[in-house]
Amino acid sequence: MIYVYAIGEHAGRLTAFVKRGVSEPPAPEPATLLDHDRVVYSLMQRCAVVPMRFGTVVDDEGTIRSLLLKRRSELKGLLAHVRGRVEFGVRSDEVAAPASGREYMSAKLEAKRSLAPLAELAVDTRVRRKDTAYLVDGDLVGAFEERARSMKLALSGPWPPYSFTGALDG
Amino acid sequence: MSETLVRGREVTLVDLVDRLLGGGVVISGDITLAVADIDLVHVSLRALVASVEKVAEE
Repeated sequence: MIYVYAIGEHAGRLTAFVKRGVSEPPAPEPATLLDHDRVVYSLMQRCAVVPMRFGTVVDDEGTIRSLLLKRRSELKGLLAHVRGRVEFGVRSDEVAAPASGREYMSAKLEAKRSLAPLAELAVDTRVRRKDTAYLVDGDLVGAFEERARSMKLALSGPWPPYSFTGALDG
Repeated sequence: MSETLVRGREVTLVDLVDRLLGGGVVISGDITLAVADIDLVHVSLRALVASVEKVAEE
């Protein structure tokens, strides 16, 4: 099998970054997760990459070639969106069990308002289950980290743009 | 605070699991098209790890 780490551009062409000779999909363990992240992060320092979901394996090269071909414009769009940018995360505070729907909504709104100065420095934002992900231009990384510090927020990252990808429905 | 797993980056296991199992491109469905104009680059893991370590040292 072939393990697919990411899709990117190599010498101006749409490219899959893969590891051949994989006998089975890897189990999600710290070592295998770190391997995936380390490879994708390293690739990102050389070219724009769209990470694959951890554990993506295909049977043969033909499968991945067809996918790239068929989804070429979507992939190119995703790559254009993330090029030169990295992801940061800010963990959301656990919202204590709200007394009412109204209270819940107002807590949500307040959280969004308080993070607005950070969102201003990002080109895109995704509210995820446990945190908010920000896509930040390479040039603005320093300013973004500084602002997070001044807001007393703990950042995770920089990450490859894991949260700024979509499903490719073959 | 959990300790970072990667030098020079804030990466905890919780964040890592969350992103890697919940993010990234998902492929599904049958794919029938074929043909060329696309490169496959075999990632040399050792070379990449070496380059990451080099970057960390600099």
